Amino acid sequence: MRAAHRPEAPDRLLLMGNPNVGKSAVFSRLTGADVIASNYPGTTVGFAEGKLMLQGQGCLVIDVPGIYTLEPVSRAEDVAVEMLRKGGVVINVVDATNLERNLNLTLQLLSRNVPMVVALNMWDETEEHGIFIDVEKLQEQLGVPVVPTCAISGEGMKELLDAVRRARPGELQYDSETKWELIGGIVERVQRVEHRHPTLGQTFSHATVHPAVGPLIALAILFVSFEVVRIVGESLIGYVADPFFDRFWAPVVEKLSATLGGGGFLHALLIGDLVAGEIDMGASFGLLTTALYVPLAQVLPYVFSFYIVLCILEDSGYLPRLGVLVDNLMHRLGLHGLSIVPLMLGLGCAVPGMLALRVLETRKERFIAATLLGICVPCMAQTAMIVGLLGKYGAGGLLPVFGTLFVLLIVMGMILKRFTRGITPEIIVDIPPYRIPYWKSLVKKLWMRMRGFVKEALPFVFLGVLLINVLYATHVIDVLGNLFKPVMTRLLGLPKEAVAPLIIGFLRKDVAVGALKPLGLSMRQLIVACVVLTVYFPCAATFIVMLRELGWKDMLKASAIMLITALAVGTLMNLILTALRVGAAV
Amino acid sequence: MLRRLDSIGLRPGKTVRKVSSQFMGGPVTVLIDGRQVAMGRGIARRVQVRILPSAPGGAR
Repeated sequence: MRAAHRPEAPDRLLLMGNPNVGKSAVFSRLTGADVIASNYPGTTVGFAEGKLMLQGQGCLVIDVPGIYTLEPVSRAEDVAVEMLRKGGVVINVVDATNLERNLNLTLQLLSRNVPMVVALNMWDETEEHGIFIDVEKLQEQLGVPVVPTCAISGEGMKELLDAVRRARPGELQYDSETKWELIGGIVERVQRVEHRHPTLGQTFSHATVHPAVGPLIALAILFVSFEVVRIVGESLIGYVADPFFDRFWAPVVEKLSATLGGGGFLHALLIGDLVAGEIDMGASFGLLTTALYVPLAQVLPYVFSFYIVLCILEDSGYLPRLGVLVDNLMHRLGLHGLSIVPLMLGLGCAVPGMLALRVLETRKERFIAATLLGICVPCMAQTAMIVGLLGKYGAGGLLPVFGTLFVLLIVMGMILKRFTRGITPEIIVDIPPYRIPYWKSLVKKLWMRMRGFVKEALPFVFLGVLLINVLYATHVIDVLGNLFKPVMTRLLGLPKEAVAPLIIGFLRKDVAVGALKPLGLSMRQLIVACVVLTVYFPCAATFIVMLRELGWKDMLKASAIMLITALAVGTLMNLILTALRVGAAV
Repeated sequence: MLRRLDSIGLRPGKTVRKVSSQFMGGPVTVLIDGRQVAMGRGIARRVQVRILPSAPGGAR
């Protein structure tokens, strides 16, 4: 069944091609819509839609997940085949530097008899690889329009749209026995390859997966990344955010505080409590003080610096190589190497991390990775707050928290691997060539992620601060505090008031960590509280995504694991730290 | 498995060059058509190759 096509003005454009050929880049070029494009296979796991004006008519553009074949093997392929069935003009995006392999899908598309054009993407890279393709001849061979493009810089996009008008169904039929001979023949006729000496990028590419040199490079890259995140984050707070709040915002709220008479319900809500007679942006807990200061001055700088580094790592193409290096380690946790990508995304925010789990093939992997993400991977917002809280104690304060989380990651992974049924398939991954990130797309991606953070986080932060005020004002905290007192004090060694941050933690982790500040905890208590806050449950946004991705049955299991782990680890840490007399005095 | 190998460009008759293999049974990285592809050791073990007379490299 095929829909009727009007070749002169299609109402649907489908972007289809192998993984990591730049479909998302073409998509955002055509529609101006915002989608994340990176340099590793599987960036697009669902599909994105955008609008485009074509000859004065609105046209739907669909960014289909990357596939190698039209025979449905994975979820991505199911989605793609379904899209194709609904009709439209196909723009087959092809990696010009890897013509032979890409043509496999092209041939399958041609045999489906849908109107299509071919975009020879990454055209700019062909010469560097010593590849010369005769576009005219390829067009002749395939029987559909072929346009060289470079989506990342926008070259060839106009020509591509012109070609859409000339899109026509292919006539090429083949039988699967001789498919590769046919492809080989086409490639031989249209492509000339000159031998090039390995470029610097290729040499480096080999070095980064070298069994001995690779891990050293990985450690160096991770160390530099960490330092850049830290230095940029610290500088932004120290030189931009803090001075701004001190000089411009503090006088405003001070005046407001005086106007409100320094007390009363409204004062408590907007300004919060005065600490030693003064407003403390971090600890007062009012809507105009802490609710603004925490997300904008404490968290945002680190989110920004983290995403700069992550975007560069993504676009350069380093992540799949890191996946190969850690494959062995990850298999001990019941995962394979590529799971490192969702885990690293989770260091920024657990929500995109959870979504990226879709690239994993089996239920076992998805369950393990989701649980680990929920338990041991603190998001950047939380990390920033923990650093703000414990940073003054130096490594002695931070190492117990992050060290414990790391050890927990390994131990929990090993346990989950044993007790989760199913298989972990072996890694099989296409490693893209290194690319120097294109700064315009880098800036755009960074901007999208920052905007996403502000839009998603701010409402929850306000809600969290509001909730904590309401809980205190209505004395619900006292009731709950007394109820959970045995657990809090006996097992975790925390005061009963610490129940408030734990409640807020269901909503948002950064506010929760911030809510520890006014409690005046000792270093030991802070360490235990930070770990428990990370482990015990994901924040509301993450919970919703997790539920959707795992289903309620697995989610229930994961939740139980988290709560039990949090209690066990918190108690254990409390005992160990007390025995070691760590941070006994404030 | 054949289909997965096919999708990364590895099929009978192709010339491949080994780039590296990780320690302790880790994944093997090979070069096919100038592209790096990594696969688990278990998969790699089941790929039969014939060493080509010209230089270090193999073909199946």
